[in-house]
Amino acid sequence: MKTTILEAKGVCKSFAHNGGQNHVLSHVDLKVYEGDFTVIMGASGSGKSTLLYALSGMDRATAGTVLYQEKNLVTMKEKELAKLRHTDFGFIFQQMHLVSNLSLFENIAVSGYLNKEKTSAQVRERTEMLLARMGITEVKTHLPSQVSGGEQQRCAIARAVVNEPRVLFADEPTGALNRKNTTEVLGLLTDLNRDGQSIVMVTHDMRAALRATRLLYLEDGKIIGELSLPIYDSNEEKSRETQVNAWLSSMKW
Amino acid sequence: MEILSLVKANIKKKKSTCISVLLLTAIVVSLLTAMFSVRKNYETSLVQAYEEAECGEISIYMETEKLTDALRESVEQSALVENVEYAKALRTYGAKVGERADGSNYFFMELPEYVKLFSSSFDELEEEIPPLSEGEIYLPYGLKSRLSCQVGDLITVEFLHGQEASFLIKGFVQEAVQGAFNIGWKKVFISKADYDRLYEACKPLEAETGARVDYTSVYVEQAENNELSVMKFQRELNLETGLISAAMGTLNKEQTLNYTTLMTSMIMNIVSVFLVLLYVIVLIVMSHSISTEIEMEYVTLGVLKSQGFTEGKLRLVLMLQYLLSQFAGVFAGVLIAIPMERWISRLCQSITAILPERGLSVGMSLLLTFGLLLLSVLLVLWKTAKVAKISPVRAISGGQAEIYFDSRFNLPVSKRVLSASLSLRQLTSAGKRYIGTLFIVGILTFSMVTIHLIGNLMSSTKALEAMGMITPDVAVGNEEHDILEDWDGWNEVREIIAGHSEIVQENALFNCYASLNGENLYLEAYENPEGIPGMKKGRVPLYENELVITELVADMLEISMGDEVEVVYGETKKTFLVSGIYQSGSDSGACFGMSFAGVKDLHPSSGWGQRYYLLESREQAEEIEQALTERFGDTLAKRVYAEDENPVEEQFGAIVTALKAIIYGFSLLFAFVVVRMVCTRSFLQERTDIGVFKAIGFSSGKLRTGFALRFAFVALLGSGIGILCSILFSEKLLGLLLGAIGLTNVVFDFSVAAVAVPIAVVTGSFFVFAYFAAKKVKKVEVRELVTE
Repeated sequence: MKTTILEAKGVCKSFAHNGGQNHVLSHVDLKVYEGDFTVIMGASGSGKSTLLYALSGMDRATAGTVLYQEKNLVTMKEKELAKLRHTDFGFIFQQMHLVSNLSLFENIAVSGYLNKEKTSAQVRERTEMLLARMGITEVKTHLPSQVSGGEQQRCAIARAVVNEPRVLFADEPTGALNRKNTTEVLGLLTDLNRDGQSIVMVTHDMRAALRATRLLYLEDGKIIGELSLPIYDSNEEKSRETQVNAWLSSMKW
Repeated sequence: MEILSLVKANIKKKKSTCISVLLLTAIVVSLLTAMFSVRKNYETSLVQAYEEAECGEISIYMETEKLTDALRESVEQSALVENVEYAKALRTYGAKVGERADGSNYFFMELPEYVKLFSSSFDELEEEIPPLSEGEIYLPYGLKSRLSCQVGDLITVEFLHGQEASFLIKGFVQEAVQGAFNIGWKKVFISKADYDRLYEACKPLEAETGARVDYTSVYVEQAENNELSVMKFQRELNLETGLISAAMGTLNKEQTLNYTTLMTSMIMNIVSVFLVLLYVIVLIVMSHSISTEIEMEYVTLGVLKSQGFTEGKLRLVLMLQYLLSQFAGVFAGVLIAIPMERWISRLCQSITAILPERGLSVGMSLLLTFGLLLLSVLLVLWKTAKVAKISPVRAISGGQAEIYFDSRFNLPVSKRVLSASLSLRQLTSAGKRYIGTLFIVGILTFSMVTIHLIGNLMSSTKALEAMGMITPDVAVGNEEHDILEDWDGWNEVREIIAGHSEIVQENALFNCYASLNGENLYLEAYENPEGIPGMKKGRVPLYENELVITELVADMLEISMGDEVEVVYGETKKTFLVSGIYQSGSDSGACFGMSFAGVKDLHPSSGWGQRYYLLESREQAEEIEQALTERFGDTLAKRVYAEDENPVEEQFGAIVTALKAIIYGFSLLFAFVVVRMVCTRSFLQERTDIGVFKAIGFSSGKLRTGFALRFAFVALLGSGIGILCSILFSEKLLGLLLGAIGLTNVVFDFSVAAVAVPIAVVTGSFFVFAYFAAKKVKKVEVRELVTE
């Protein structure tokens, strides 16, 4: 029996557009389970990023509820949401969005410093550990503009997990990377998931989708399909790819 | 057409920037237009009122008995003179309304035709002036604020031997010749019956006291065929007839026009400097705005270039965008100037005592505005040169390179002071972006510190001393204004005072008008010349044949230290040596000083009536007064100067307050608009970083505080620059500006408050305004900040 850590009920999101309303999400119901590597797929404009932002509390849903530990993120106060972001949730962006005037080390450590339960020394120690795990120790004093896109994204992953979040959200984390860096980043995410990290990721990259243990398909703001998979094993990639392809074809992807 | 479309789109998109430029321009233009209009209106009205007074070019007061028939004849027959008029005048020695006293010379006269009555609201002049009944008096408007009096109040005037007479103030009049607040002699008007009665009562006292009350005011008009300047005419007339030398005092047209508008000119000068500084700020803000706009709109500009827009067209679009905002600002500024002109006019009216013309002097103001706009055009041309470097290829592939650079000034980010250390990092890694803000803060702080220092100067005894005035702790004389020079009680007075406090200085001051190289000037003679305050060069006139002059007199008469000069006082003419240059505010610097022995040498019957003392411990002054009263009773007038008593502050208080209001008010307004503009720009540049910080768990409050802190850092640093500039330049600058009132050598007291208040105001307002400018952090969701 899986434990639900996040639950969306009837989530809607609309944007004002040319005097009217553009309904991006329409009554989405979704549960995120602990330890899952949930991947949300869909065509461009299907609302997958919007759903991710609503689930993570980065954006507020227009209607519906997003429950985390029995609290509704939609109505949560700004301060509570801020606390949630540096304690329970981690977020990885497609464009990395590292703070450009902080070194890689500082980008990771600053997130850790927000956590009041950890001392400065503990944060620095964990940062060093993550830098090593992500393979970017050598460039830790560099500014983001001085390292490659892959190194930036690895730094962004380290930043997202520095506070050991319960859920890690990733918005097309490989979208801006080349093939080699994509493989490295996906490998890191898979490793984290193997260690028990719950991940919710949005992508339209087939290679990224293969890492999922649970695949969701979004169309016109609604979840229209779901596929469960075992934990990723590179030896079974071929058969997994066939399975996922077939499923995506059935979704008319 | 395509240019207009782009300009329209740009203005729509950059609404906030355009509004800020509009506001800043409006502030400068409104102040500029209002100031020039007020100055022009007063000058026009004053000249007109002076012409209507028909007082010729020179007004002279002289003891009637000195105006001999021979002198009259020589003046009337002079080829230099067109016409001479005479008016009887009764001299008094001060007046008071309630507790408010004024020791100036008042000349009681019958009501002449040219005097006009102010309406009850003081904003217009009545067509007719009702005649005065017995017991009624008309006062020049300048006395209204000087005596803090109203129509219906009772004014008590002091004559010789303590004789007093009281009058009911019937109204305030416009008296163009010497009605201004800051002209020490005043004509006041009473009925003929009162005049005759007072004359009869006072005339006999002249013989008893040696002092004079019977004066004649002589108005001399220059011959039409003469084309001499007023000063030259006065000098030539004196050399020919000796009229000026025989007079107690003279006020010519040039002096009247100068003294009446002295204070307003001083305000205008200070505000003009402030305006220049404000416009520099406008230019810095525009410069910063254009740079960031090109940086932020790199992609758009590159794409436009790729679509065939030439560099010239793109620069024209930017130029039009800013110029249109400025033109709108000019229009708004002119509208704001309408009520502002009225306010400043009204404020100055209590000083000039003249009803000014109303309305804006649009022509001159627009000409100056045009000059300012020309500067803007040049700035835009210079700053938009960067457009040439925009590469369409680079723009299409994502735009500019990273804007942040590593800096040697970077300090580590610390958990303990996370917000502050991150703010500091933002600052050190994009320092260039804040240079403009630094200068802006520096200029604002400099203006505030300078005006604060003027305020402090005016409210401290330093101003008095710097202006050559004495600030005694105790002054002793008698009620009758008798000459007490030979009184044998002085030793006893000295002993009584010395019994309570050590005497730092004991002196007596004698004032009169005397001719120096043919120029009738105010003479200050000290019993002990070593007590002459405000010495700047050379030494005090220790010997009887020495004198000191002010810089104004040195320039006016083209004399300097070491020169021999000729002084005429009474009947005697003597040669003196200029031993030094001093500073004095008497007659706005048109004065000279010597030892009292020197005066005696010229005019043996001269004598002083009051001796003053500077004490080691001022707190003892009241005890001394009691002790003197116990010994000498009420016949001896003892005056103890209160700590807060300061005639300069009283005289300039309103001006300094107005200046403070203008400079502090506009500085804050400027700070607000500038901070809003700069912060909004910075916010837009950093919105992604801010979004990221928010995404990783920083609360809006923390981010806003950090953002505001950064601007507070810049403001603090800029304030330091402003303070440094103040220390280096304020004294020199104000020496130039206050030279008009005789204060050429200003020494400031850089008190903690003078420095701390402007720093606190500027830093605090930057913090608050930046905090508000960053309010979007709270309103915008992270997704929007990061993806927009």
